[in-house]
Amino acid sequence: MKFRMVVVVLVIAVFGAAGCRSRVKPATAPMPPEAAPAQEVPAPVGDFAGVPEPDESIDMSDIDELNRRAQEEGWVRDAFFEYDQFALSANAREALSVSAGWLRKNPGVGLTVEGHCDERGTSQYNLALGERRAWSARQYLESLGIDSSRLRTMSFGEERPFAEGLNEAAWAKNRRAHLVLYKID
Amino acid sequence: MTIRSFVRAILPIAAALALTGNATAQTQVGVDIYGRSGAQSIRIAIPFPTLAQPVAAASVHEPFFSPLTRAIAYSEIFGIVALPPGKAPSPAVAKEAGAQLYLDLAISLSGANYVVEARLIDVGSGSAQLARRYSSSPAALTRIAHTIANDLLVHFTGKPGVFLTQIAFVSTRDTSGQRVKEVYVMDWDGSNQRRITSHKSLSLAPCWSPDGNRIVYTSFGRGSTDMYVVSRDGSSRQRIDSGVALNTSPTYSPDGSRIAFVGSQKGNTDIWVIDADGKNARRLTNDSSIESTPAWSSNGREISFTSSRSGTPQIYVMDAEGTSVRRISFDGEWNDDAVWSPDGELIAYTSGVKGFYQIRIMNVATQKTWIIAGTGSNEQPSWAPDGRSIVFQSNRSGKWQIYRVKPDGTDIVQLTNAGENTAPDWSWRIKQ
Repeated sequence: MKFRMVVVVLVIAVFGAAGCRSRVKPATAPMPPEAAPAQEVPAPVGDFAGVPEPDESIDMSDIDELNRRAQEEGWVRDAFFEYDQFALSANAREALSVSAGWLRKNPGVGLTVEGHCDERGTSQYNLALGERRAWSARQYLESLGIDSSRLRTMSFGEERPFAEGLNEAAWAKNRRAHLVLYKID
Repeated sequence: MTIRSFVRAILPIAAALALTGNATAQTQVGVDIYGRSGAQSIRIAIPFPTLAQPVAAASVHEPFFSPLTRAIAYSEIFGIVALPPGKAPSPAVAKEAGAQLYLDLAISLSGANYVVEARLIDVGSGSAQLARRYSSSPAALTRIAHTIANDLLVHFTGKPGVFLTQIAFVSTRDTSGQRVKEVYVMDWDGSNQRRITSHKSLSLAPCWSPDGNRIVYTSFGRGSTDMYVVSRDGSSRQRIDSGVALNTSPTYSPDGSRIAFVGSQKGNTDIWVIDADGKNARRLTNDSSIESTPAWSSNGREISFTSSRSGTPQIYVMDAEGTSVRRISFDGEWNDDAVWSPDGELIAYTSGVKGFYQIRIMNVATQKTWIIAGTGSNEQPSWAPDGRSIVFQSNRSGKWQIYRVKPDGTDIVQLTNAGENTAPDWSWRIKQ
């Protein structure tokens, strides 16, 4: 089982490096224990830009700059959720698989998984919902072989929206497990 | 029957009327300008205080006279009688205007302190029912006004008003944007707002200890979510290490010995309880669903909480040991923020109906509910310690602000203005 997971990640890495658009088939991706049946949902995952080869030019000293680049280049990708749900969709799993691939190649960084909710609903419940979202993503990363000691979680509930606006487009951006890199000392 | 014994006799009736929603329909005694249940209220005249030189009217009006009349009007025990203009106020003039009582106030300076003499005169007999002398620094003049109002209520009902209680809340006012939230406190009527935390981070969901000395809340200051306890003046801050994650929605038990909160182990959120000294954390629920937002019943024997176990967030009640769990909310598709009225008979909560959030109140015995309707989103109710009001947050103005309202939906008052203000928690009666 472990061996198969590694293969899946390597396949992503190779196709990614070749610049191809690629999809991880849900059937071959490991399922975390709590995941709901995979379903296709539109989520702003962005294009599959691939995982870089181990790159000595990646500067680990400026963690803010590294986070900016990691998001911009798609090295790590946030997982998005349906309203009031914490189960990972197929798109969310794909985004986390890409992230796991990059983390595997860059053992010097750890990852804080932040759980976020849209502003609908109540703020106290959303703090608990954000916690579940963060852990859904974390447990999936662990199932892909990322060591638990590199992973942290934190719920922001609805306190830190990414997009303002009273519409589904904004709300969809705010329901996520946001991946933030930190430097392992 | 004296006025005092009459009031004690009709008080339960007045309280019942206030909760049926018909209070505004009661026959009002003509001259009452505030009293909602005018037929039951005592008609009192409160002329502007007599001032001894060099006390200026301007220095007394806002800090003293306004808060005093505001508090007396709020009580619903009294209806304030307007005195005819152009006549020197006196008990005789007040009697002519229909008043039963006349509150005679005199303010003088003694050194740097104000001295307020208050005499409550029965205009029928001309005798003083109450005569007291209060002294304070100029900064505490509002406190004297609130104390006089409390003393009048104690005299007539045996119970103090809420006028020396406080409301804790969260505000963005001292920061740019909404990235930082700190904990603040204000007096019952919105006066004297002041900040008591400085984490320069997110601090959320303050809750008073029953003795009014401490506030427990959640802060993100360490890069994790932790519970802190702080004195009401902002001093002696201590972190409570529960040993589990999340640590949101902390709330003191009515005897002050325990704190219920939401704890998480590997993402599984449950209701936990910990001793107030930070020891002996234990889990009360054990479910794979989302559990959140605990609240103690007024006698401490039960705890309500929110759970997603039925598919949507709904309110449940269990006994304080975590057994006998039962669902109590059935109206609305998203219910949260339950809080018990001080007499234990009502539960107020946030109820989402077709995407709109309103304050809903449930009669615990009958499970019948009604909604306090308002525009915008209306969330996070908290009861006044006299059970006669609720504070809550609403974005009806375009920004989150804190409002006070009667449980029948009348007499709404906005208490905050600066920045965005949320998560109000009304203290218990604070021992002085």
